[in-house]
Amino acid sequence: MTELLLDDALTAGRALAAGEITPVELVDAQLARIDAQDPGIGAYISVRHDAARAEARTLTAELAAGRSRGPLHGVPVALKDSIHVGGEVTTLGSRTHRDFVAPHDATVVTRLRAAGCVILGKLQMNEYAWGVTGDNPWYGPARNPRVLGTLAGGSSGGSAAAVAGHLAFAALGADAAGSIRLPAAVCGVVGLKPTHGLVPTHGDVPLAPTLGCLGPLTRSVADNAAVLGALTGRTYRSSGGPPLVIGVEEEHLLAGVGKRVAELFHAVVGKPGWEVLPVSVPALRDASWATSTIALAEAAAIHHRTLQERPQDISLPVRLNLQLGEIVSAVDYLEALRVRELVRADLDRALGEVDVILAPTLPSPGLSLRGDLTALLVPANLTGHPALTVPVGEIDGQPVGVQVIGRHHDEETVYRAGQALTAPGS
Amino acid sequence: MDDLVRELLLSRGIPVTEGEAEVLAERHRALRELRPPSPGPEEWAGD
Repeated sequence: MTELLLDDALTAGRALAAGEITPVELVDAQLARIDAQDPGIGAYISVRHDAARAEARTLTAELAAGRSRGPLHGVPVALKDSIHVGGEVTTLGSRTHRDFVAPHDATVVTRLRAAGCVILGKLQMNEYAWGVTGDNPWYGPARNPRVLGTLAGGSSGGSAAAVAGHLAFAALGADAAGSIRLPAAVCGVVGLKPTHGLVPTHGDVPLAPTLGCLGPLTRSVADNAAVLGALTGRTYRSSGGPPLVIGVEEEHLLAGVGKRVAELFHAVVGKPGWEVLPVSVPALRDASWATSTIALAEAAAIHHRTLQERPQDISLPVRLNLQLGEIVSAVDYLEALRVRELVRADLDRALGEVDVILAPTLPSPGLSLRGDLTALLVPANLTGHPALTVPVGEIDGQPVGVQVIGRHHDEETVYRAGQALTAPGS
Repeated sequence: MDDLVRELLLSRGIPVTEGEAEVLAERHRALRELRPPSPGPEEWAGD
């Protein structure tokens, strides 16, 4: 049983389908591990012990009657606490929403349930999803299970910590400025920011709605493809197909990257036997400014009333960001939207020359707070392109990720590249 | 600039201290420095 908890979601799904274990037994084991391990990790804000067991009983009865909802039937998963479960609290990692009861399930929750997933609970996040550390003044830090004494990164820190710490087989996070990919890379797991608009966001409280997406964090690329399939009703293969042509953009997507990360990146990119071409995306020079401007203004709009009425209940760093958003001019916001179109067109042009573009996920190993941690991540938020991070190695015991950026709605090719990067011998 | 920031936020019903206004003015300036030059109107023609 313990060994199965350490395996991936599709393996657990196969064991459940074969009757080697029941959903009730698996959920009980997963809850016991959460109770034992999570006090030292801090991945969860709330755990749905009774509700998860009730869901598992229903799914166990269905399997006993010969009915399966698919490859994830009976697999326990968890949600960033910006995502609604009807009748239960959505905290947004905040003091202001500590008692906010969600009126309905988010669409992604409905779809996970339809695929047979059991919802274990709600996961820690930076306050209002604003931050890169994984720390939270109201709920405590999400710690990195892979590197003792360090934080998980953010803002979906609990999601990455739960998956890396084997406290859920998969988790959903949200990513408006790298918030899935950053903690996934720090914790050494797989994280996808899908094409903007592919995964429904109804029932999620966003940081910045035109930049943000919901997406899965998992322990394998195949699991990630399976969860995205459950969320979209489509099938994504992560292997096979013709050889890929890889693009590498040096000017911006390797700018500021540390020497050892760059060396590891080039070593990994050179291995799988694909064609690697240089690409140029000059418009990326303004991507960080445009993303910051849009994020500040949109987050301020979302939290405007709370900022007026309860500023003392918002931590100072987040309050300052929201106040700054209030003084971004409409002219600057519109200029940022114009820049977005230029960057999107330039990236589309480059992706017309290659199948995917690869880049380091972070400029340095682990959660170094020196420099701009999100510079390599935000272009995909700005333009809406899908971007996947996969773990490719370690430097000084810290996981290092490579990011795969693909064409809009071509998650399958993104997964194929990610699978090749993580395959044994790659 | 600090006073302008403070006045603007207070006019929008958002409490702000003098110290916060100082920090915000500096961050606003830093953000503006990253802003690309504004194009002429012909750039908005969509070509």
